[in-house]
Amino acid sequence: MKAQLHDIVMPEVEEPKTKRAKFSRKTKKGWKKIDISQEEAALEQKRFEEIHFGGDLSKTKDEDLFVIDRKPVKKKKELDRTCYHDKILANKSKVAAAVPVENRPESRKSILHNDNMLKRKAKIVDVARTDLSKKLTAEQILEKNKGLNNNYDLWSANTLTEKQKFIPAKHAKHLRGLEGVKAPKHMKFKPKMMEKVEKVSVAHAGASYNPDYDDHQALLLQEHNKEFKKVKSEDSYKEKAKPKNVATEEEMARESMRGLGILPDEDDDDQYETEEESTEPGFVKKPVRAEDRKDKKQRRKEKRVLAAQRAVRRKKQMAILLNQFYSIKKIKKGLREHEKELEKQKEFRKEKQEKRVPRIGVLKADMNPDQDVKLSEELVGTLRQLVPEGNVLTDRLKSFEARTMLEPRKKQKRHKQAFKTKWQQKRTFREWDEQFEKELKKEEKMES
Amino acid sequence: MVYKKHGMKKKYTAGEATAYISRKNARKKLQLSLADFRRLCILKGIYPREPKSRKKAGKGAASNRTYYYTKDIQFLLHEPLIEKFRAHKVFLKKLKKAEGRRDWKKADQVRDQRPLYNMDHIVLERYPTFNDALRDMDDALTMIFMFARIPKSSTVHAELVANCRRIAFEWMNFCIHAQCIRKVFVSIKGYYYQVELKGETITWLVAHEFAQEHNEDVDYKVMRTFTEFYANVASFILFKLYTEDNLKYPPIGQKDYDDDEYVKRQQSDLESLTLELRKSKAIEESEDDIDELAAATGDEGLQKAIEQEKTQRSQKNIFKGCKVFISRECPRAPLAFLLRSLGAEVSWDSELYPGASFKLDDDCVTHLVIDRPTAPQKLGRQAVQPQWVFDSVNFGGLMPTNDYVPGAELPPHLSPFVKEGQYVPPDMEVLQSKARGEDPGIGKDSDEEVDEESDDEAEDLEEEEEEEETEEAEEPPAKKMAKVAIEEKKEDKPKEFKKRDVKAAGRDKQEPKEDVIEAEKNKLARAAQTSKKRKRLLERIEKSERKDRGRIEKLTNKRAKIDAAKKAEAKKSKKAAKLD
Repeated sequence: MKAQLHDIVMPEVEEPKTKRAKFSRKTKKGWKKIDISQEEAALEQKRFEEIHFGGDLSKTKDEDLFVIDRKPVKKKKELDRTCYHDKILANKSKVAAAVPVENRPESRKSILHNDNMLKRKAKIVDVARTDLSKKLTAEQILEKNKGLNNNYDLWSANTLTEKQKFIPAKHAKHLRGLEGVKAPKHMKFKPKMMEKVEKVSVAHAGASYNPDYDDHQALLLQEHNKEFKKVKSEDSYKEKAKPKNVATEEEMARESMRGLGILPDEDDDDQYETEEESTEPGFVKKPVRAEDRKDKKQRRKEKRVLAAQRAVRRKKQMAILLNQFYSIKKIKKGLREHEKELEKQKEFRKEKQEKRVPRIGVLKADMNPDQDVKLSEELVGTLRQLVPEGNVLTDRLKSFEARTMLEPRKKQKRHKQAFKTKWQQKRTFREWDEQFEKELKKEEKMES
Repeated sequence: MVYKKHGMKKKYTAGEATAYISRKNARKKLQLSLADFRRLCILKGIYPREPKSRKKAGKGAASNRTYYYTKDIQFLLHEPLIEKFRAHKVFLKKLKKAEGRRDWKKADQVRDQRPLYNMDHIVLERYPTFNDALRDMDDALTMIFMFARIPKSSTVHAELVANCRRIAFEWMNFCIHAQCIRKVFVSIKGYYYQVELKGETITWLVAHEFAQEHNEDVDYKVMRTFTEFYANVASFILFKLYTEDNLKYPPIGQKDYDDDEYVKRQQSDLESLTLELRKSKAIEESEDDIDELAAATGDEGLQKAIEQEKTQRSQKNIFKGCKVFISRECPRAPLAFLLRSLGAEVSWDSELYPGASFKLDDDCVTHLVIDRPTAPQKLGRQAVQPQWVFDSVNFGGLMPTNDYVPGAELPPHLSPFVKEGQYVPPDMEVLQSKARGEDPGIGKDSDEEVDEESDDEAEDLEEEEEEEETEEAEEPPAKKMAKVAIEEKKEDKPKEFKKRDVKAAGRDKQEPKEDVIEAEKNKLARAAQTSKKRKRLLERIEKSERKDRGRIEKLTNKRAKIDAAKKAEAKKSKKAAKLD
């Protein structure tokens, strides 16, 4: 202790000034003259003592501070092997580490408020009036009454008294005089997707903070493919959105040069056009003349010929049909194949139906959301240097949506102002400006 | 006037048109605002459904609306929470009025009369048994751990955040007590933990510290409602878990409130995960001797089960006897959680966080977890990087520390959550054998041919063991100390364990699963001869298996090629060096 006292240089305390200057404190000028260096020095002294000695020095006894050295001890001074920079950096403060914010005691007001709250919470469950009037603390009430703050066994039957229990059927009777309201049976069965999709899907092995090379590459490939598909589909939309039959720049240029004799193949074009004109066919209907009209005899003959042709055709058809009798096997085979194909289609449709994500809102849920990825050059070897990715809350929301627990939503952006505000100069100002400009022009003319 | 014809029925009065109700109509029926309706549905576990025919359900309109079962909505009519919602609306009106008039006294009065509600009956209704509730803890824990770290705001009240914090710490403390942690995966998103409790596997995600950005697309009101409900369920679960394990709940007793200092200390212990949970009754627990039991029974199935139990017990205490000091740049909470739940004692810089039990300079420290390029050297103490802890947990044994020395390039941190039948990189085998305390012959044979070694593996193993023995004599004492733990484990294990198929062991420890799957498949194959449906099912299974196998083969071939190329290159460079 002796050595310590010797080592530490005490901060100098200035002598307080005895005389007090007299001046007016009415103006701001006067205020500055108050000297608080004394108080500051005292506070500094106090802090210094607290840090170095752990309390007020004046209050500690002399025996605590000093030791009467009775024996001359010849002791070899132990070599201090700690490095100089370590010594400087070491924490010498005797003030205890600050309590983390979350551990700080609650303020009096919030405790009071809480107390009140707990008491009222007790009212939710039937609590004896006498208990409430006895001015018990909230804690005591809690202890006495199960059914508050979840401090009882919910799943064993006999923890609560009949009074403390909430029975929905009873409530229903109270509400509407109905008895025995039961939950519908299908409530036991959760929606399909809730069973299918994992609750917490663990990140891909390649998303490890220090991943295996193969795993990481697999994840990168997977995400790349997804992104590639997206970009491709976007591009295809753009392609589709392009207006059709619009002349390109090249065509426009060509058109503008036409007829000037600059284009090399212009002559051929002209030739082609002229040829087309010459071979244009006429679509003029021929007039029916009297000598071309068929007489009855001719018509009868025509009829006969047509009937004969029909008979021949029918005969041939019959022959084919009769012949098919001998190829029943082949036909059957064809039918079977057709049936098979139908069944395949049916199965395919069924599978598709199974894979289908139920649509429960206007938007579609994102069933395969983008994974968080670190690129190869972003990977660091240690946990210390790791920059985390992703947001858990976003993840959760997407998971709820994928499991059809929530309908997918999109945050609506606030609409911008529909019309831009137009600004206009007042007429008087405008006229003045115009006049001024005119005068300026005049002056310029005069000068020139 | 149109008369109803005989046998005619009005359209949309039966069937799907009445089975489903659109959200708008449901709201009308319940007389609730959209926000309140959403909240009620989330709390009661009523989800939107997709009707088979949109057109029929929509009474002719086929647009993409949100539908609910009409019976669900009818059931909601009897919910007492609706009354509370209405009361809350009135309360808000009163408060707004008082504040608008700047009548602070009145406002305070109104605020004190805020209508409260409890949802115990809903919890019981949705989870009729305890295990039902446990099964839903994945979601609950992820949300609770998330909200425990969110700063309070107008949408996220401080009360909820504090509640989530309390539950999160109580849960972690219980997991430490129950020693139920099975897997951990450190991803770029956060930490995935998996525990096994009462026969249920629960997986949850905890984000990295300081990682969360505010996302405006997320509706905080909805997420808050989910969390509110899950917090309620979780506290019931915690009560049951604590009391069933003969522990007092809440861990920080209400009776101790007289002594403020004590409570404060307890609170900080709870949050630093060093709290000793109080027993509610003093019962001496007699430890059943498994070896005796195994000797007594001749049943094969039981023997197998006992063997499993044995390995599990040893895995529960892999860090036993270790005193680990966590350096200040390492993530304290996850490391303390894992180390303590597997039997280690932990400490940290006392200025950084309360609850430190020993100092860095103490002689008792066996391991220093540090994440800097260099570490202060001290005799009898091992400095390791944090990944050593995670890998040791996943592989069920202490990993040799020389791979995890500060500044060293770490082996990859593999995901333990990879499903069966997926590709397993060869590093996995190396790490697994290392965890068992074996010296894997892969990797170090840079100048010898691999073929020679693989000819007689059994001999090799023996040789290597001999090598290790000779090495021990030369090793410095510091290294030796840490090796003791591994050595002990080695002796415990029977030799058969070494020869067991490595792939099955690490990633998915439930071996019998494979047998079950195999048996199921055989059964299916037999049935396939009679039924078309089963035949197709079998075909589908086989097809997917073939696909998987193909993928694995492709990847292993690729890896082998890369390895061969590497080896050839190394040889070349060596030759070049020799020539020089």
